[in-house]
Amino acid sequence: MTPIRTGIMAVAMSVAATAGLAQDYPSQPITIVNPYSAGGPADLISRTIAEGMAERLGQPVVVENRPGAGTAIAATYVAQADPDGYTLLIAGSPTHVITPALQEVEYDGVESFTPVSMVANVPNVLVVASSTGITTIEQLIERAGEAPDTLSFASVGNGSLPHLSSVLFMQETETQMVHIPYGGAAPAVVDLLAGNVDMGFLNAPPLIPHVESGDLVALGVAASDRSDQLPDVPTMQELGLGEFQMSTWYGISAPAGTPDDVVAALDEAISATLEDEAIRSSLSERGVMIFYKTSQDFADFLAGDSGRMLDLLDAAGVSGDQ
Amino acid sequence: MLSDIILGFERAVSLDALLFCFIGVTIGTFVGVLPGVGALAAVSLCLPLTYYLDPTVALIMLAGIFYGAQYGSSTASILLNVPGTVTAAVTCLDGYPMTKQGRAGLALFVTTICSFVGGSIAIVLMMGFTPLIARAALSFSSAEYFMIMALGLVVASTISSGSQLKSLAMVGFGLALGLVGTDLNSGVSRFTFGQIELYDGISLVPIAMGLFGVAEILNSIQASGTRTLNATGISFRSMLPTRAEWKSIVGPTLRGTAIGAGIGALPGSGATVATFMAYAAEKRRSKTPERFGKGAIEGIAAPEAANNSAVQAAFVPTLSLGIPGDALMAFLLGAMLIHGIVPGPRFLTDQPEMFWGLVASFWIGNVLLLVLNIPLIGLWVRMLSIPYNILFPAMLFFICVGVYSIEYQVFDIGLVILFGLLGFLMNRLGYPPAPLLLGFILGPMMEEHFKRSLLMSRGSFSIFWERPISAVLLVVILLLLALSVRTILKDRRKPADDTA
Repeated sequence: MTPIRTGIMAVAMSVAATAGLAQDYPSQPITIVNPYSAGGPADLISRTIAEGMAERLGQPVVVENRPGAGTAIAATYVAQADPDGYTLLIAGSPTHVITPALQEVEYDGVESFTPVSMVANVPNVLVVASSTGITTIEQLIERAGEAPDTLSFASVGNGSLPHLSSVLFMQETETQMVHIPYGGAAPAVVDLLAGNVDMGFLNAPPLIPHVESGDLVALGVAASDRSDQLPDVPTMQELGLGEFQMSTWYGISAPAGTPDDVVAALDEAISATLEDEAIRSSLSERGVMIFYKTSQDFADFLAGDSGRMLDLLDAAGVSGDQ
Repeated sequence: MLSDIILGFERAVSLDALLFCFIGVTIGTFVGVLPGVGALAAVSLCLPLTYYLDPTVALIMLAGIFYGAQYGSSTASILLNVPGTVTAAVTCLDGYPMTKQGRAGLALFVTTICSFVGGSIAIVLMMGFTPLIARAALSFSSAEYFMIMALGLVVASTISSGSQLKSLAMVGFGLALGLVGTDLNSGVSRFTFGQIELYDGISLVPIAMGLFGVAEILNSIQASGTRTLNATGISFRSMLPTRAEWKSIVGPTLRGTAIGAGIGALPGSGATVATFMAYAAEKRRSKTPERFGKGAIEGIAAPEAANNSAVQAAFVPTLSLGIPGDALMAFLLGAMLIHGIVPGPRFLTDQPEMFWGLVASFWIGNVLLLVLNIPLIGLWVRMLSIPYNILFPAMLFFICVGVYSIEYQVFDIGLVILFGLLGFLMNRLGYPPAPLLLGFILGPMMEEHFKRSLLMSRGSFSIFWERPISAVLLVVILLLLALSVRTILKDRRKPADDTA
């Protein structure tokens, strides 16, 4: 080996060695893996916070989309990545709870990850087709109660949050409706507009123009707080339907075993990013609500959320492959 | 409205809009030519770059990549029997035989012109009728979609030349492959064998690229030495259609445009279905259907016009209802949301400058594509004179990179090779790949819409004839089936004097 080569090798090896040391973290670019296609809310949230994190951590933060298999492809990839803080996941109920409960996956939704911070949520809104003539929650409950399966509800797939929200609604109101699953929100909205399906709990942002035009009637927000985009629509709790915390949440998770100080550094950068007024407003303009929680609070929330979701999956009778 | 259109054109001819429109369609043309590298991959790569642009200009560029790719996609179909994108698979059927006959220049010229005509007519329709079309699209629900898909399957059972039985078998095989993946209604995974890559079903692009692209490369390797491709005669004159050829493409182009615009405007059917239907319709109409598959000029004119008109029409539901028809439109919608624009019923009235600017840029983009593509024809045809031992490995490389670029999965590269081998075998045994592809595309959609229709009707089949549009489509399907049965019976009674 020539001296120059030896030199290069030595430098390369020392770089490789320091990359594992937490006090130098971060010493290389960080990747946030997004389990959905580009262009969706997860993409928007991760790209927005990536910019702020990069500024605070002094290393580029890039977003990589690895969609597919109901988030299992991205979650598996991150769960099996080195726990060094350079591969992160933009996580949610599907990655941590729903997909592992329904499909055979090679990771554990809770054990395989270290929660870093909870970041944001997108409220789900209960809308009915204007053709149903329903304008209040009482009318909806009355119509649904007339006979089982009089009304139908749309979801974006078996075990999806819109599905489970409607299951919770049926539990709370002791009604029975037909579940019509769609491959995504877009075709569900088409059928709601045309009145082919009667109601649904769906992510608020794409519904706003249809609520404004009067084609869809928003009855309630399935979250603990009202939505910034629909300030006049009460929460389900205000309507007397118990605690209805069914927002689509997004957090940042790392592989299990990520060193505490690395998690702390990331959490600090994220919390500082979410304090930034420009970032807050750019997210809220697009219907995303800031919902920051520290690593510990995120872990506690996840434990509670996981229990609730599993109960609802049971009630829904969704078993998937398990 | 006229003032809005003028406003739109003023926006679209501003220097930045023109520049980014040109950049968009140029990138589009090239990713279209490269097999496997689709518009979706290119648009995703370019999205972050657009964060720093004015939203209208950003969308003009992203949309330009999308429709620009449709122009380029037929190039490799015609020259090498390797479709640039899935929508150009049908163009292989008659485009490649034309190349073998030394008419590659003519084929490329015709597809460029037909693409331009199809795209332009669809844009005019869009300008005049967007709100109307959007409302009409809402009257299509699952029952209607199911019937359209069934119609597509019936019409297209005639798509390939050769044995009817073999082609039906391939439709069935395609439908079966479409079963793989998680069932939407029950959440159960079917035939996935625990492979998470299969939970969403087999991806379309590896199947299309394998069956057409890789299989053709394998065929050519086997047949090397008997090379008959004619790379000479690429003067501008030789590209121009004769008077008779001009005449014979007018009808197919217009009918293809109509089919494309109709199917494209429905969110949830897509340009690929439109190209198959346009091709099948021409073949059915033709007095000499036996010429199809052997270099019939109508066989490239109709699907290319349909493809481009469908792609333009697909913007209608996206922009005016906020409802994307396919993954790419969903992506563009996402890009608009990121730029703070919410397309929907009020987009047209609230932001006329952006809407009309975008529509006007489509037309400018189509003119740019025409100007860009005609001089490129000579260059593309010269590609045929590249020695096979360089050309084929390069194509194979591009196919693998393209397939990988969609979801970054090595698994998909394995799939493309597997389907390449399958396609090679099928070719040896005389089984056509196009019906397989069609069955694969339509099968899952038909299943989804069929089940959903029955959920809506709470299990009653009457939904299929109680809804008027669905009922009309059902009658058309039954008529076509009756006609086919009659033809078969007539052929039976005829003495077996020939083998056709």
